[in-house]
Amino acid sequence: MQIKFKQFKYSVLLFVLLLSTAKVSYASIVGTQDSAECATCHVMWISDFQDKTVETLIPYRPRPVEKSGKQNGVASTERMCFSCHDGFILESRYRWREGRHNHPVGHKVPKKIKIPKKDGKETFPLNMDKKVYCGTCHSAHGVDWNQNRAAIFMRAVNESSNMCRACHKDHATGSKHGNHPILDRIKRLPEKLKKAGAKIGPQNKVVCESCHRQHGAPADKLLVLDNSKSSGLCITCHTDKKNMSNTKHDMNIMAPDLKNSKKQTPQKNGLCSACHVSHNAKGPKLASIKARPGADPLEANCVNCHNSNSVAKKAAIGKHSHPINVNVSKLGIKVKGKTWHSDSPFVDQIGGFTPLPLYGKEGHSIKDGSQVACGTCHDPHNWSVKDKREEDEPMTAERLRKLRGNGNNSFLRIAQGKNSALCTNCHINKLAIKSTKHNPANVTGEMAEKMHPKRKSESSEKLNDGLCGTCHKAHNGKSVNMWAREIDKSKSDAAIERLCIDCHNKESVAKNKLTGTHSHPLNVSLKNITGHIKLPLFDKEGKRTKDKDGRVDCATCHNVHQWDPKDIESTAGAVNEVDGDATNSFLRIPSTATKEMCAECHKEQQYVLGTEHDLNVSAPQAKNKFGKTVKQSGVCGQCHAVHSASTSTKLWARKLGKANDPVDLYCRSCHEKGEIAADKVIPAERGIHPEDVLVWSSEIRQRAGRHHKGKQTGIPVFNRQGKHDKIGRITCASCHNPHKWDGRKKQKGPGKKVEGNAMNSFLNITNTENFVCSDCHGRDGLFRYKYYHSPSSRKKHRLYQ
Amino acid sequence: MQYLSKIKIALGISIVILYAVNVNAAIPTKKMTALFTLTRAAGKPLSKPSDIAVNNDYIYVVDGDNNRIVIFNKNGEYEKQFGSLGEAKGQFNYPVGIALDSDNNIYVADTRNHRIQIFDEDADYKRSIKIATDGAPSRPVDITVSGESKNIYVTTKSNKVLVYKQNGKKIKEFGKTGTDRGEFRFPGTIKTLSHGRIGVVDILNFRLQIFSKKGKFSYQVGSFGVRPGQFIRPKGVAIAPDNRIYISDSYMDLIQVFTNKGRFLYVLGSNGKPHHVTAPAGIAIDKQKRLYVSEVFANRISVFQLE
Repeated sequence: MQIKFKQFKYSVLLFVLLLSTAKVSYASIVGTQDSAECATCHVMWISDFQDKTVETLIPYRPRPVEKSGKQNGVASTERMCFSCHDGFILESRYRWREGRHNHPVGHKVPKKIKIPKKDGKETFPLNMDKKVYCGTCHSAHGVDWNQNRAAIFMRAVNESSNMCRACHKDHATGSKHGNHPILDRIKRLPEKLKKAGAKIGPQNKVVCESCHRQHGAPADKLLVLDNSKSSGLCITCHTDKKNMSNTKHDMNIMAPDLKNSKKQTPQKNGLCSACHVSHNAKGPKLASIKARPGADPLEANCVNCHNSNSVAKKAAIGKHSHPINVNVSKLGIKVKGKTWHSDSPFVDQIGGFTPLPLYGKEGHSIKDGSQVACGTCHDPHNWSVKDKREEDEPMTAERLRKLRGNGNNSFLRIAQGKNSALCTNCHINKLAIKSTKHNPANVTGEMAEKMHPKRKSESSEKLNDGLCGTCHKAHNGKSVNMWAREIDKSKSDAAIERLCIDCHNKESVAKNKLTGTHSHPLNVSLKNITGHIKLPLFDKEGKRTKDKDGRVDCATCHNVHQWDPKDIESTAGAVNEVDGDATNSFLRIPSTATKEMCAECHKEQQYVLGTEHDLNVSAPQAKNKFGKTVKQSGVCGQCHAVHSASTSTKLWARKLGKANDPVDLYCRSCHEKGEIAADKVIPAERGIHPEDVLVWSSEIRQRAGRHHKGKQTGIPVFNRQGKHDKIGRITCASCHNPHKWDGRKKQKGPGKKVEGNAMNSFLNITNTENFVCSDCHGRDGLFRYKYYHSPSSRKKHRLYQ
Repeated sequence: MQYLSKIKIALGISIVILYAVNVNAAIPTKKMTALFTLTRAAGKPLSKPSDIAVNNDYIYVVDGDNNRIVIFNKNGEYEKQFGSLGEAKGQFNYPVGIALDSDNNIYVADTRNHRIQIFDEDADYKRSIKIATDGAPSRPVDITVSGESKNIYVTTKSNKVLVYKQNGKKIKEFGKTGTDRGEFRFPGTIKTLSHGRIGVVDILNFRLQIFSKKGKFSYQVGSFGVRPGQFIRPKGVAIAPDNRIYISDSYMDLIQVFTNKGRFLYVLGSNGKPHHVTAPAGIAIDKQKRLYVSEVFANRISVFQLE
């Protein structure tokens, strides 16, 4: 019994000992705070799961197969995350809201995403099935608990979206590579985005989380705001674009099923998606549509729709539209950052420049851009400058299609108004036209209305034509110069003249300014003229050309935008009745005592200046047939009239003299008794070479070998109509060049009256020895030559007494 | 030798006894009967409802992710809702806990707005109490209003329990960050127990701590683990008419029942298996012994009849 008691005593002692040992052991696994810390998340590490003697409240699942695939541990499950992020410890309930979107887990990584590696291991590990799981990004181990720049429990400090960008490299390369700008500084994150859970990086830099939320995003593509239909997310920051809805550019209304290159529709991806995508864009401005073949990057985005085969075919950009890819510096504008400068006197008149967007060659709007593109004049996001939203009520596609624009809307960046403010913001010097008769506002009378171009929709549109719109339209002009007016090709062969003639005809507003029957010829080629010509020449279509083969047209001599070439601010030409002269009249170069515009082309005739044929020298008070003195008409204008001349051959501007010879009669306009050159009268009875003598012209003589190399051996001869011919009569102009005092020298006259001799006196002939005269007259030629014009010479010789 | 033999025999007996002690029987469970669930109100689904309060007539649900309080009658029919996202009076920013006082005034822990908002029984706004600790705004988690004094006890994410008078004056605070008795690591729901004692679910210390009404630590229930009576994520606490303490675990998806002294009794369920509820947080029991469970992850309130 004693033994039994003792046995029992030992048993109790041992039991107590073992029991206490067991309890200590249990406490060492789950009871101490340290082990509990790990098992707080790694629940399956609790040793009770390994103890078959213990019935646990939940089953042991070391590698749960969830929708995200097999995992190495059990910590990174959605339910584990939620067990703390349910509002009681941390608030993340919105992340699990019904319909919310989360970064995908349980998916294999797309080929385009390369997870960075370190020491051969992926920095952001995948699960056992090689799929993304919570633990790919999150870990409670090795994190920097002291940093407060970004969320903890991440495998890397996700400051400035470092983690996102590590994998999504192709989405975070900035706008030059077709992605939304990232790490660009902004003033502040809009309150609406903040409330939606968006974040901003250090120093107010845009980061991935400014638009996206990895967890609990309310919209597709993990966006913090719904961006479908009206692109609510985009316009939260891009507030200047918010007025695009309800306009012709609102593809939700106009073409809700229009697909961009990523097969996205405005209905689903927002109206911005019709033209832009945030990532992996197809061109400048984050273009969502690949540019059409051959399209200039500067207009590619626009012409994707505005072409004859696409959705905006009725507003297709056609021929004769404003050029793109041109540099504003050619207009005298210096661009410095966001400010424009010019020496033009009109800068103050327009209240200073409104700097418009300029672009680089690739079509990006850049600070130091200089090229004009569609976006320079148009803001495709705002229909009207003044009234941001003309229609409050929702528009229908039908109503929008019927809506016609004018100079104050049409997505223009500056309302045109009466003075075409948008055009003149660049073409500032064209504002000179405002003070001329070419400004419709200055034109009065019953014909004034005719200045307005005919448009499909008349009446109310007229007032919006403005200063420039009277003649030009920026798109789809009827001719060169973006012509807005009617063109009748039958009225002229010259492209520019066809434009001018719409007003300058008997039945229109400029009926008093017609060019007349005999005018300066147009469409003539100047390729035989040597030397530089400052005046513009034009091709057959009327485009300016630098080619010497270019042709003369009205705009060669006239700058229709400026009345007085010397004074851009002149207002003298604004009066309806004003009659111009050679110093103004929209001429490109004014006539002065020392310079003539005509001489730009008629270079050989410039030496008339300073001779007695320059009436500034010989007869300053004389008047041509239009009643103009030489000061008014210019030197050339005293004898020649560019428009409404008396004759076609010399475009004569004076009263013709009386003579049988068709050339002589020009000379006798002055060289006649009672006329301004009465002291140099040509003898009537013997003043003319016998008209029956026909002579070879210089050209024929040269071909026949009847000339001496390097010597002038021929003379021009004239037919009965007074025109140059191969064989003809010798007349005044055969020997005289009325534009050159000394035939040997290319120089202007002495500027005063002088008595001439056989070596000058406007004579062309300087070597009578070999000259054509000798063919008939032998060495006597010189004598005979002098005989004609010098009574004293005649008296000296017995043969002619 | 004789002693050695005796020791062997004793050792054998001890092992047998020890085995018998350590091999637990199936988990003790007690059945409950599902009555109905609440999933929608005013045409909108509940979204992450975190807490519930009940009285004789109504069920008050914190529909946290929708930033509203929804009132149902005891048949589960929708009666009323109030609140929306915002900072103005009557608006909420992710509220978590809710409580009623004896006059059926409604107290809401407007967590992200750092305040308690008080509404009358018609859900009309009455007043707010700004919650702050150490001079800085603090986020309240849950509230309980003690019996006669109607003092307001508020758990906060700053690991303190704050006590306010009805006029909003703070009269006491207790607790600090830590694992010792009377210390907290994320105090969650709070309830007034029998004799005016205050029960605080100490989530990441895996326990319920019971304090006197003056804030003096009394005892604790539970520890970390997966054995009956232990917790992974204790969240909700409710007191039954018989003073038993019900504690929900939002990771293990079950509810355990303890005596008012803190002794484990059973798990709600049957046949040794816990009844599965999805991420239960706030729970409440009415006089009819109905258990109301906010299944946060499942976006619903489930109502059970306790036996």
